[in-house]
Amino acid sequence: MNKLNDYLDEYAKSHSLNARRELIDSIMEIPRNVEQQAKISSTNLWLNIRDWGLFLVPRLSGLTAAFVLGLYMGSAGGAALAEDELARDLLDQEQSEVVALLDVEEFIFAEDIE
Amino acid sequence: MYEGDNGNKKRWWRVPTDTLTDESLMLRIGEGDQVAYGILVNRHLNMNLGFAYKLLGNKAEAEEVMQEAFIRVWKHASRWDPSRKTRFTTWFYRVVTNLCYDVGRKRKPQENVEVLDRMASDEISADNVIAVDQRSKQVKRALEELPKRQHTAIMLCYFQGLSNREAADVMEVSLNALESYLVRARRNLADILQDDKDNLLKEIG
Repeated sequence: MNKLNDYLDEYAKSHSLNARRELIDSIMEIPRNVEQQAKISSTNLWLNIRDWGLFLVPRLSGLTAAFVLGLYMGSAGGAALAEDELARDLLDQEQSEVVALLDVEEFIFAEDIE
Repeated sequence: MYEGDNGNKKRWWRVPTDTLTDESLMLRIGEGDQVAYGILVNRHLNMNLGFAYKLLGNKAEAEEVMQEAFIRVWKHASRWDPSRKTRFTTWFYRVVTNLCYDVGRKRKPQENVEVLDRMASDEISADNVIAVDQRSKQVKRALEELPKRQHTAIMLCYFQGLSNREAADVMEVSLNALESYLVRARRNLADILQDDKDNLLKEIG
């Protein structure tokens, strides 16, 4: 044994540590605590699923209703589009008549100039 | 349950607890046996608490490490594989060592400053008297200054009484690497313990 070993021995003696009663008790409680935590976490999972259900059901119902309404409105919009199309055609016809009239006026006007 | 000669099942805890190996206790803990767990705690708590305390230099942290280590024992026991021939002591020292490293890593920089301040004041008082407690403080300071792996090697071989082979297994290094850590640790210790530097260096050669 050299001097360094003596030093280390002295250190070991002065730094030995015995577990407190509270520490021993808390360590002995670990199996019970772990099992309880496992039970709580499985209950929590079920509660979480319920919470998610309560959160999602009204929102999904609302979205579904909006979707169905959109479909209904979309199908009704076909007739309206057809009416729009008809109106545009009529307008085009009128415009072409106006253009023709303008041409005539131009011709008349041109004749007048000459 | 152990089978008796007449085929009747005999309560395992009637067998003297000394004859039960740590590994067999782990198997029983894996089946949810709290008595086996208690025996294992009694066998290993104090020794490993001292080890954690010396590694961390802080009693509260060492206690937290021990709690976490035994939580791992309880949770890991059901997966304990006896065919791997791992010794419980080796596995448990490894768990404690790694937890201590984690605690060391998570320490705030301020805490390190506090330690350094305390070391400076210790250094002044150590100049005065050569008393055992003073020298212990010096050794503590010197050990804290060692690199982490050298510190662990010294702890396992000198204070926990593990063989070099066992310490190498705990640290997951080769025997040569472990011996190298020990030699360097002793040199560094002698270097840090300035007062007796020359004597110690002569002895180490």
